[in-house]
Amino acid sequence: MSNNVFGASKITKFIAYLLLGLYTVVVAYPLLFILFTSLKTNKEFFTNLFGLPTDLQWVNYVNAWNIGKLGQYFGNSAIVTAVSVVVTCLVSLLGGYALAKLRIPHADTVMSAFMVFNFIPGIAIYISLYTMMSRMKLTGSLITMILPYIAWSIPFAMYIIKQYFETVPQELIESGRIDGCNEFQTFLHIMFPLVTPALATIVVFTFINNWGELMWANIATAASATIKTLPVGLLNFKTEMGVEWGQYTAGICMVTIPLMVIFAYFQKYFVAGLTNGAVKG
Amino acid sequence: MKQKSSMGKLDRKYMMAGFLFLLPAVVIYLIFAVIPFFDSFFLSFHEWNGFSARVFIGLDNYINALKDSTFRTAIRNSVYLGVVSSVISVVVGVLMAWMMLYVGNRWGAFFRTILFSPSMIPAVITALIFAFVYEPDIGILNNLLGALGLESLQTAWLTNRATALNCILFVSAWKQVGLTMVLCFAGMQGINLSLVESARLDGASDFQIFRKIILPLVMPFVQLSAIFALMSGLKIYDSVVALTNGGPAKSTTVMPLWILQNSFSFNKYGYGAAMSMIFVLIVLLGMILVKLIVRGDSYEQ
Repeated sequence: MSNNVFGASKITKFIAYLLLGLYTVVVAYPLLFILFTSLKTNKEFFTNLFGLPTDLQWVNYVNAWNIGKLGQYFGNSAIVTAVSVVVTCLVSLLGGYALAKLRIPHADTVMSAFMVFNFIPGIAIYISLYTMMSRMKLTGSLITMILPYIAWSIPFAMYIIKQYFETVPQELIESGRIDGCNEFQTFLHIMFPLVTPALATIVVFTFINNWGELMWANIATAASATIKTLPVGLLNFKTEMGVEWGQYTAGICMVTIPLMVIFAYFQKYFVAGLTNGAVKG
Repeated sequence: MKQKSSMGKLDRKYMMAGFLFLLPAVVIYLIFAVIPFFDSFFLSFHEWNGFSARVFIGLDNYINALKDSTFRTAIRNSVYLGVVSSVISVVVGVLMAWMMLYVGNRWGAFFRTILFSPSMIPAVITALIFAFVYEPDIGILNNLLGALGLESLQTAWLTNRATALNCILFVSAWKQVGLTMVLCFAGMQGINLSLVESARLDGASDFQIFRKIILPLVMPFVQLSAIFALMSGLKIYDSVVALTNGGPAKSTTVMPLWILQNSFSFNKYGYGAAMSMIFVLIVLLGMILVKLIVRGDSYEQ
């Protein structure tokens, strides 16, 4: 959108830059403060609280990773997130395709049933889920987080896929069938390549939700420290490690930077997913 | 086109394949979402410490919940956070989106990226970041007030009953504004420009164009953002745990936190389940109310 079309007056434009500039400072400053602090020694933190770091302490990241055990937590988070994203994509692709194209009776009702549960606050599920999972001997490993994360990501993911497949003309599927493909081959060779934008939307949403999830991870890892994820580890970092400001803020950056990278790649899919109007909050 | 006689058989074949494709999603969702929810629902009529047998006690848990003054505080706080943070994020977000129409493309992309970034940072992380803002001695806020000569306003933000809840509110609004802005800006970009041009020719001011053309046309997006903001505000848990853990003296406790503590720390699972059902009702009620208040009639352009 170019600014001349809306043809605002000079004063309006000035106000626009002023307000956006001011708000940018409000948003960016705390983030920069954390980034700067993560590169200072504890001593410099107190003597030079607001300035740029004078001598970059990359060692904070190394120490947080090793001594602060954030490396272990990062690994756990990476496995949990990667597995849950991949499986969510697979399961929702199949399910969304079935609901859109395979003549399942009352497909829209089935979809709505998934979506209704998606709006239920997690805590109403967690209480029973934890006791259920411990009876099924599913607690104490990363599975405790992976399986529920997949489940809770399915409704939104399947909704996006279903909507997307509905725009694909039926003739394309028919052509595959006529050429002798079975249902799975039709899906794999004809439909799958068409659906990559929808997949990108799912990847970015599932990644962001699961990478930073706290409440369930907090419950699920309470009994076993070795499976803590990065958000849980950081929450307890100050109690466990004492006040190591540099390491602590380095940890905060470790959570945030992968998200920034993912987001930079998938920005337009993120907005597309939002306007589709169904996100678990 | 297929022969009519073969339709039924083919349909059934596709349907069977469809059920097979849908099966994994249904099974996983049933086990990890639907069944636990209904189990919590039944649990809410029982007394249960997590180990011994469940004892049916009817509506006692619900009655106790409504008498529980901490739970009432929790409801009040959650509703306050939900309502006020959605009002703030809608007002500021729409304002910023509107302003975004008047800046050049390159600056627009810059502002949009920065302003949106809080929305994708996990809530617990934004709260840990803001711990540095609110910290009494080294915190940004007190130092800023000191530099401005406003020492009288300095306080221990998170342990002062008068300010603690609003500190959490600010973090939540800070996080939510970007989302509202991006959504509403996407809506504004879809506006038919001939409407704006003809209004301009008729001598409408920038504010009149906003009030009479832009705002009504982005109402569906405003409604959507308001629902997102209300939902995330009502469900706030992460930032409370990270900033105050419900203190001072439980004054900033919120529904998910109090439910969690009762269930997993005090082993009152049935009681926790009953409160979580009340929580579900409040969330659903909130969603219906937003839909009624922020009417989002979509216009076909």
